Amino acid sequence: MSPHGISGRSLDRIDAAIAGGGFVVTLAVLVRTAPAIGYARDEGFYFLAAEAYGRWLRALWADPAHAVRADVVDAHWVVNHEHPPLVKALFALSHELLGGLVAGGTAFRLPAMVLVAALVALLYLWGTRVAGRVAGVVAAASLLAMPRVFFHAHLACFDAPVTALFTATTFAWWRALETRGWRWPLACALLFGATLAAKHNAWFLPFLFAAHGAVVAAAAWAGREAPWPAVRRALAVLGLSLVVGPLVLWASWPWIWRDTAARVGEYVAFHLHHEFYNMELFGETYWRPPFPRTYAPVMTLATVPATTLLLAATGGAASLLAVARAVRARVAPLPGASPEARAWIRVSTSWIGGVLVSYGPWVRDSTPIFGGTKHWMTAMPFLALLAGVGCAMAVRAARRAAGAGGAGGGWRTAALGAALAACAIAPGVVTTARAHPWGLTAYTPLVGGAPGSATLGLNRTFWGYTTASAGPWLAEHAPADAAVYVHDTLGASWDQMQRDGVVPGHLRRVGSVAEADVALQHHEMHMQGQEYQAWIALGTTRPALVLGPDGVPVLLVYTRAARPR
Amino acid sequence: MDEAGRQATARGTAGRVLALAAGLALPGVAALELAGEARVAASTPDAEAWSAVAGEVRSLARDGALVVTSPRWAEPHLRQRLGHDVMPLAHLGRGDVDRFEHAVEVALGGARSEELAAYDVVDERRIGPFVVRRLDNPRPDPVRFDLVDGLRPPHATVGGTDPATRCFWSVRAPVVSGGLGGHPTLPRQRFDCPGPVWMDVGVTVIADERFRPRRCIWAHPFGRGDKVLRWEEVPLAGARRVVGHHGMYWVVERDRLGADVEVEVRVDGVSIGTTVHHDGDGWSPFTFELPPRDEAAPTGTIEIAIRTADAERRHLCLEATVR
Repeated sequence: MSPHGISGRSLDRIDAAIAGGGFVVTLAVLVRTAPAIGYARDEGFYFLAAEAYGRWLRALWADPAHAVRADVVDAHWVVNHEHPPLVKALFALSHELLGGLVAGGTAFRLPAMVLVAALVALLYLWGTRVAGRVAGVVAAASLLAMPRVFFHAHLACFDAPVTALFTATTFAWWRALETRGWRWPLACALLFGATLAAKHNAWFLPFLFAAHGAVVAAAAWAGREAPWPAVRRALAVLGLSLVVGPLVLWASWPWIWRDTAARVGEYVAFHLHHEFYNMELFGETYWRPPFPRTYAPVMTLATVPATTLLLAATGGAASLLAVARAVRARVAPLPGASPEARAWIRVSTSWIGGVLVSYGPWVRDSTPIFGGTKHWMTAMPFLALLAGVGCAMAVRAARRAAGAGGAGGGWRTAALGAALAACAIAPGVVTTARAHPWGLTAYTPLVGGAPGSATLGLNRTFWGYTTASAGPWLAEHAPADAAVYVHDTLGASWDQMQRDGVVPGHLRRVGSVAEADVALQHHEMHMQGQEYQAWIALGTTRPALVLGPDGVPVLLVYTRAARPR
Repeated sequence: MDEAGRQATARGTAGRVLALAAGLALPGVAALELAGEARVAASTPDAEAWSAVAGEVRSLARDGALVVTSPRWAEPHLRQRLGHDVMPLAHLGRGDVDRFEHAVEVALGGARSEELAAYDVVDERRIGPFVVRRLDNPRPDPVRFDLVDGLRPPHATVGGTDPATRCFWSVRAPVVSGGLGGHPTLPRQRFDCPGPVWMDVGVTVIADERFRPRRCIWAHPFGRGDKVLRWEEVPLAGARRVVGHHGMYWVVERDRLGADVEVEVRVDGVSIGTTVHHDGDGWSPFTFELPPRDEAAPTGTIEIAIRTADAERRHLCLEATVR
């Protein structure tokens, strides 16, 4: 495939080594940086679910006949049954195997980190195959250098795993259409099933595949070839996925083994009628529809490095130019689009489709926005791939302009490529590194970073994970028997932080600020009322501790002015 | 060159221009982003800078001036260092800015307080990364008597009319907080009224429609009749108006499902005005003119009667001042 003369390459052992190295480095970085990120609210729910599923898996190992009884299945899998099982089951397995070797929370989180590390490796391989090593390296690094992606990659939640599986399924789909035989179609179908079992974003994949299948057929037509073989192949793979995928979901989810229709209906209804939570945008808190349609584009511009967006736009434009050229060539009395051009169209439109289908729901003003950027995180790997190609194109053009040749050796050529790749990646790396561990407060310089975003009235945090940052202060200053109001931190998340030594184990968690000696306050606009409750309950407006990136208050800690008599 | 060749050339040119443009723009965009990160890092005040400006503010605000930060999100840093002496709860939960004669603004990055837009800057100085301004209110409306401050015996009482009830002052009531979406904290010192705890009356802080703090009297209406707050011996000589506000925690009223709440103000038994809180109004001002006063009666009685047709989740909180 050749986006404007960029040649892809067959992968070799060096590429395998680079991908493997990328996997190892990514995993090491995530594991190393994870302890600073406290356990998010949703992680607490999934810890509890994983523990329940872990008990069932042990029961299954010990006595399968007993474990598969309806009452036994229901007793364990009822926990968090509104979400599919795969990722939580992986958390359970990891915790079972590694809970004694690493902190319990890290053991839960490890599968998500492994999946993200695998995704980084996949991006390198896919980008390199399409447009060379510059594209592969930039694609892989760009993903990890997106601050919000980097943050979510640490968590025992579904967003990073489904992003990895969504991309892997799309990759398998693409390979299935580029090859003959049954292996890649089967892989696509199985991965689709795994993605379904991870999170409901998976249900958008069939739409992507249907649309992309039409594009593939059109590309054949543009090349003056019969489109029907491409149509048949696409339909076959899609059909196989639609049969196998739900079967994989059913097989992996004991909760729906029985009363399948009713329980699947309950799962669908939960997500179609999900309760709306609050989200701030430009100083307004939205809690019910209509939600601003500008939310997704604004937050993308505010949180994805501008260099990545620039290069992704370049790669996307190259795809659209190729499509336009192919159509014109076909319509005009000219030779049709070349095989290389058609191959580029086929792969690049799968990436663009991945972006569009991920953002698509937010065209409607009734789609919830309370999850912030993680709602469309499945788009990010495709943006990274487009950015990789955009960078490869830029490198080639720069080399030609500098007289270093469009390809080939020489230290100047290599240096130019490295310099532009560094330009592509460095800003994201700096933003991501500076933001850590305040990932949900990470905003790019385009909006003035965290301070600018606070002034603009953009959401500063949610999920109560920042409690971990107060751990050292609590250890030093909180009285031995202090009652702590943990605000937005889920009780199960706090308990795990205590077990892992992130916050002192001697502190008592209380459910009301009125009972507390110490009150945490995680800043969200709609929760300001609770800070004022703390002022009255604790008798002070003077925070003992103010924490946040670049001076922006995200976590406040109040202590009681005097013990009540 | 034939048509095919021209078209092929055009096709290649567009792509090359695109790639070259990206290649030329990339270093510049990267440099701007990196410079932006550096700028953010460099402009963030450190702890020493905050302590230095806090010291300056402490001396500038000795006369009880209102202290604000611009942007507002930086305020916790100043509160942490200045405490209640310089930034008391009555200032933080202010009903309005008209009541202050002076203000001190601590500004970062060129920000200005919209709230103090009508104030005049009389002094401005740079303290490290901050610009510190001393401002004067050109038309101050000072408070002669604050009914919120005065809500305590022996001069204040609270009761109901249907049935006739009296709420008893407690200095050791259990502190109760409603959590997210719930009622504000009911303080230890408050009037204990019949019924559930949220029927009690005390001074608290709510979050208004902008989620700003408003210090006010929590006065949830009874299911029947009026809840009457009464202040005796209020200095009224020379006073011209009763100025106040009413509101609810925004999370409660934003769905606009609750019944209207009437607030009637009476002086010496005579009504001087009634205002109504509708869900969705937010923090709402009211002003009632005081009738002319006999010099022989420098003090009087003020009553605030609160009533509603449906008391379901009517988290009314109000403040009122004599000016």
